[in-house]
Amino acid sequence: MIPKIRRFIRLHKPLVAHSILLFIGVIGLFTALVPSVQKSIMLVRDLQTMNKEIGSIQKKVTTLSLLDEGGLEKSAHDVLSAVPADKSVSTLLSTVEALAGKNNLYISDMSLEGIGTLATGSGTQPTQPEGNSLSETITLQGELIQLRNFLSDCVRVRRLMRVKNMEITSLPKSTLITAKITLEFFYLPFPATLGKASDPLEPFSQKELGVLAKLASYPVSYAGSMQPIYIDDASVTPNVPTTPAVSDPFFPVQRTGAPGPNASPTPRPTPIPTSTPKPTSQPTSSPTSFPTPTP
Amino acid sequence: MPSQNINLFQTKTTLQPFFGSIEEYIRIASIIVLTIVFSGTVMAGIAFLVFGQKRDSMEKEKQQLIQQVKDNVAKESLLVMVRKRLVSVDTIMGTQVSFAPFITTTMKIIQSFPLSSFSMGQKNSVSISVHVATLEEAVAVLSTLMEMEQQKEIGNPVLQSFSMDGNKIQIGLSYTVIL
Repeated sequence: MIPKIRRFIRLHKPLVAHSILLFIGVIGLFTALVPSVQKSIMLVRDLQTMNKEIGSIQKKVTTLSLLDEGGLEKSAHDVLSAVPADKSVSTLLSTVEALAGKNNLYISDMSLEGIGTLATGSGTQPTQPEGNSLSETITLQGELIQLRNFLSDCVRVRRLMRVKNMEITSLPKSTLITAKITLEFFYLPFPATLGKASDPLEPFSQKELGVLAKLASYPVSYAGSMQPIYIDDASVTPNVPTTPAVSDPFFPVQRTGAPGPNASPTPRPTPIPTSTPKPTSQPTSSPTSFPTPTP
Repeated sequence: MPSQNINLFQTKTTLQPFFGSIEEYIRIASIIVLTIVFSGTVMAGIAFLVFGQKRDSMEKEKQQLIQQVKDNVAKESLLVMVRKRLVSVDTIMGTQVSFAPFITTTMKIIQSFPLSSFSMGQKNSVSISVHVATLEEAVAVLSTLMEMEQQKEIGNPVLQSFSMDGNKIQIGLSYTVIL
């Protein structure tokens, strides 16, 4: 067999040589050229994708640089006061109480439904577009016109609420009525993620700005504490001192007379020497005891 | 003296005609393939180099822009939070129904007579019962109801019940408030 091959090679030397070259060429075609072309095509596609991403990020950077952080904080405060991030039962109760008090209605009964655990509930992702909800049933007593005003105020106040149900009965031998109202309050957890850096970010649309303006016109009826994202009065009261008036809240504030020119804004008591305490026979007002306020 | 042996072996081998014909084709094909592979590889290499450099520069630019986005993450998070919450706020505002018009309508109907009960039903329907002292007062309530129906303030007014107990007359009415 081998002598035959040798003889064939010897007889067809140019044919064999060209065949080997062709074979090498074909191997090179599939092992070098095709992968290189594929990589180059992928690289071009990567460049196109990256170009789009850069354009998107560039637009986002421009959008972000044009945004006013103070305005955003105010908007955040407005929407958070309307729909807080957690159940915020305190704001819920104080809103209802403030509205009832404003309209001279007496709250005879109040119950919260579906409050569940006392946890904030901020981790519960909403299933409805309006967010998670919490129901409160209140029983109010008063005049019919006062109730009408209460119902009118209900839908124009922060936090936002929705009247689900209402029943009115009259009190016997009286012009007063009793209204049992079921209110629905809402809360929405903070978004968990921001998305990718290349995700597009548009400024507020006209519709969103309209909703924000409408919301900002609603008064906040509760005196509860919200997260201090934005302080409303900071822009209108520039003379508010940045240091607290009383650094020690347990130290009695001197009410009579104005402080002298050299008086410290936060008078501190003379420190009591800890060594060799001298007992006094007469009772003296020590800095830790509250003096009787002088009228 | 001449040799009388005859050499029967071929002194020279001859090429087979088939291999002779394909040799030329194989030669041309090998040259073409090698040329393509060489030039193609060179071109791909140049393209790879150029595009690679461009990709690197674009990657740098992208990283710089991402850093700028990161610097403004507070604004971005506020914007995203407000926007997501605005969807909720808009939905709530869109579905808020003020019950005040229902009370206003009822106050118009009952005038100054004491309301006994009030309940809301489906599709803005309201059922009330009102106490009056005389038949004239009952007629006044019903005529007000009819006037309001003609003025299209209410719809489907129905006298549900009418009971008289001594000096007390109780009228049960139902209607739909047109908002």
